[in-house]
Amino acid sequence: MGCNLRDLAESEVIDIADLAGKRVGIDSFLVAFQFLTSIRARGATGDGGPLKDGKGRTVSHLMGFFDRATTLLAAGVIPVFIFDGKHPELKAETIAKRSQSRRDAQEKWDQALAEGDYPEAQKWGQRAVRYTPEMVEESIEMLRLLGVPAFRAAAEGEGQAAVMAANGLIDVVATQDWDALLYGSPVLVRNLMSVGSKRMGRVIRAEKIILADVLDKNQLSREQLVDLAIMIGTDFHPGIRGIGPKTGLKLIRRHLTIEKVCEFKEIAVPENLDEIRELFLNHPATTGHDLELKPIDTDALKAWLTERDFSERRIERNLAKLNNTSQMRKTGQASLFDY
Amino acid sequence: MLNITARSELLRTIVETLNVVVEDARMDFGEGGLEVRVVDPSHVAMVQMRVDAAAFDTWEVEDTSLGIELLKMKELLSLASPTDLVELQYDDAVGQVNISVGKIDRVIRPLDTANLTPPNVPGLDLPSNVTIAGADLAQALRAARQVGDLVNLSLEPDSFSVHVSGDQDSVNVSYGKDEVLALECDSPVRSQFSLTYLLPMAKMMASTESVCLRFGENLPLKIEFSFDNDAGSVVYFLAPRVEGDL
Repeated sequence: MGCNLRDLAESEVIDIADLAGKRVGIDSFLVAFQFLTSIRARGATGDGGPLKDGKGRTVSHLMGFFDRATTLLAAGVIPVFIFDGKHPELKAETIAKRSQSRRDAQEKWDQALAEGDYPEAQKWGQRAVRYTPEMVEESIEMLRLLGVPAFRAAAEGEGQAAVMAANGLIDVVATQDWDALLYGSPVLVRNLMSVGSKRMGRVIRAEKIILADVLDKNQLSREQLVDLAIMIGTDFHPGIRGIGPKTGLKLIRRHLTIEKVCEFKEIAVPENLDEIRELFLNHPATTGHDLELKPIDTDALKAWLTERDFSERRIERNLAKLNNTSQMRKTGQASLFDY
Repeated sequence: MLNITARSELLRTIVETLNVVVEDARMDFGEGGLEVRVVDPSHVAMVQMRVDAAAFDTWEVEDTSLGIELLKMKELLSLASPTDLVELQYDDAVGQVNISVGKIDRVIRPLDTANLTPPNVPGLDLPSNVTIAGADLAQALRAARQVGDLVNLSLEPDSFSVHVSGDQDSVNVSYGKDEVLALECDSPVRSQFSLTYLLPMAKMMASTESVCLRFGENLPLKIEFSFDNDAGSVVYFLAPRVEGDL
């Protein structure tokens, strides 16, 4: 997933509260997958599948987005949910690989279920996750009922978000994917919702990475950063064998472009180089999106959620968080966020 | 890693002070002491608290953040007498909080701190302030509550008053400059607050010698007080009621 630029970047730990009042573009495909893999039937005899409503429709992603959006709104953040559009053709290979491993997982999942091996089923069920176009549309519909901007990108979600950030339409791009920097996002936030939670024994916190600092620290132009990433390997190209971040950085600093690096190493330049560069430097993006928060029609929202078997408790708990935000405020009680 | 001991009275003060504003709180334990910053779900009231490690009987702490359901702590502490020692332990590897009161060992699973992000403190410039005995403030606000839900606080260069007008009745409690502990005010200011929030706060300071109220014209109220011989300090923030549309 994306290109790992960790070694090139310095990050600053932040809190959600630091993003209050800011428009945060959220790479929503990634988030949806997190919800679909984590919100699951995990009891002793859980089949490992996502949670479903009475009609058999998956609701894990909706629950996740509902909780996520209200938590962000309650923190004063203006979330902008951006979903992947059409994947660039150059990504076909990456996508095909992902589909294949999902199909393999599906087979093993079916098999484990047939054998009644629930722990095994839960393991594979998690890897067989699908996020269909219908599920995307549903997610967008629900977020709009919450008065939150949500839409599909022209191509990659983090690419569209980065272009919007570069144009000043949003303030920050939140994604795990370092590619957002390659797409030109001035500010990248990773681990948006982590507050010192532990993962694999490491404490994970939300962190902010500034593109200008990354370029400055490594004495690179953005074009050179993109060239460097292409050498290391991206979703669009496996990269040049034997070149990692450190070697790559040295090479690009000395030779300035991929072409010159390849000339020096006497190898062929990566296939489709110009198209890949173009994807990073001028990523296609849809325009004309309304980025304002809208008042919430609580009755319509409740009806929509109840129809999908959301519990009264979950709905009320989340809506209570929004009392007194500008979207719900009815009385003369001010909020501390107004000051 | 966390291993602390405290008088139940101290823990009870901490829990109840926070519970005025929230049900769940993230407690940040560090070498120097405990810090908590929480805001109620509708962002009307906030509490910022700090308790020095010295206030505790033992304090062995590596930086740890715990999400605690305050009601559970309150229930448990209600079983102890004020001077009973309470032991609180937490081990990252196990992921559970062990609390012992005498023969009682209770295990509490902490809440996910991801949903308990500390809020930013509002940036406020509040030059006017009055310092008053906690008992006087609590009494004035109890009187106010007998008449209405919303209370007006006003400060003039030589007096502080608490005023409520109901449909028929009204109540007014005024203190002259020499009847309070301190008063600073250049020009008169007035703000209105909801007693639903303010009264429970005032009850927490009813036995406090001095409470400092800072406010301005239609600005949030900032209430500062301390407990346990100044080892614990508390700041409550309360957003005002404002007339007309926001």
